[in-house]
Amino acid sequence: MLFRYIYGYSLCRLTGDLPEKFINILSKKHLSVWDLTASSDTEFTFCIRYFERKKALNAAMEYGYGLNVEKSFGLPVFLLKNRLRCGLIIGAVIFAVLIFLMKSCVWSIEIEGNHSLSDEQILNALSDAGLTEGSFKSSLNLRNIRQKLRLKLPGVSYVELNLDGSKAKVSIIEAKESKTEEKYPCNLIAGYDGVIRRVEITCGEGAVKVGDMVKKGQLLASGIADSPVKGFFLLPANGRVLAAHTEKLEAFIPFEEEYFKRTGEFYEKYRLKLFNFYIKLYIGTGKEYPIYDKIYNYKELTVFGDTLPIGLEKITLYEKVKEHKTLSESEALNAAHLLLDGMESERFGDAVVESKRLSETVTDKGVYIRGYYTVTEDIAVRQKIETD
Amino acid sequence: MIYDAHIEMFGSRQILIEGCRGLLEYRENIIRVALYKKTLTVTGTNLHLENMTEDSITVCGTIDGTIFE
Repeated sequence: MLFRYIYGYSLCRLTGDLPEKFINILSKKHLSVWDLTASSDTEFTFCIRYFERKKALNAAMEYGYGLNVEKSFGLPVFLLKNRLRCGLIIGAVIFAVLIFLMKSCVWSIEIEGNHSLSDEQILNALSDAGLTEGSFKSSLNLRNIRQKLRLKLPGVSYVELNLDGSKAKVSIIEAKESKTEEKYPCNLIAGYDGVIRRVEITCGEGAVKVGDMVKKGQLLASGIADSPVKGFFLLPANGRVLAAHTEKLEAFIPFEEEYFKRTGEFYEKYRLKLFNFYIKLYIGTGKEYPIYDKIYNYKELTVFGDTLPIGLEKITLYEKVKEHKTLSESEALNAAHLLLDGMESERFGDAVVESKRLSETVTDKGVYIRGYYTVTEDIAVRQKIETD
Repeated sequence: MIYDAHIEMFGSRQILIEGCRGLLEYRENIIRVALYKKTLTVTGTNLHLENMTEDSITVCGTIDGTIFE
């Protein structure tokens, strides 16, 4: 049935004496007929291939039969009817080819999990490994690329690479920085002045003990060892030296503050992303504000769950104005406390804060809060031993 | 070249005749087909020729009987 539709067929009405004879003539001429129906003793209807109808008409004329082609069906008939709309058909074919091409290539690379490595570094490594935007999916060996990526990015402990439609998703887990990985000979020196609370030297000769006071830069563990067998030799000193030391943090909040506030006015403009090219769907630069926030929102086109390299990007510009704000003393103090809390958690992290003293100073310009802390943390810092 | 007919029946609904030499009579209740040496008559109701090529015919309908003459 499908082949009949593809080749096309015509419904014919045959009239004449002994129509069976004409059917035999057609079969002798290698013309297949089907759905033969006898309307009367002298009239048959049947179907014949669309491109064979002229041969049948010629045969009918030759043998004195009446043959009318009543209706034609199938793809050739459709194409013939729509021949003046060839642009539509060509467009449909081009669309199908484009969809096929778009689905068979990688058009975007999504990277996640990187903190110390930049996207650009990973993209370069991927490019060296053979994966770039525009690569054919069939030519990619994901296992190979994963291995090459791990070799090219030594700080990465795990790489996951998956293809999702035309998008390559790269998830990486970076190796945690560990002192034990260092291989060069080094000493451990003090990063702060302090009192030693605990010494955990895993490699090297310890130079301090619990209770000692140390100055910044003082040797805590030596990377030069003496062996009765080997003599002097160098090693990478490693370990933790916990010491209590004091530290000062300061937060300042002015009474007069300048800040930017959104007015509520906004303007949206769109641009079409085709592969890596952008086509502006607005005239000129669009509406611009003197001060604004610019938010990009990209929506990619997906076909049957596959992402295509075509999408619409919405750029929203929110107008902002500069405003002045005068804080009261208590407001400024609250803000300063909040700022100092943030600075504390950022600076001290896992360190143990043993004691904390705050002092507030109010000037005519603003409020200072100074925090004096006694903190116990690892103060050991590596110092490379230079050798000839 | 087939010198004798090859006939297959699919229940009483369809009959395939290979090695036929032409259609002799075509009616709703009787179809006569010329074979190499004989004539095959298919009788039944609602008979119609589903397909016909140079040497084969497929007849569908409710077939009551086939007679070689």
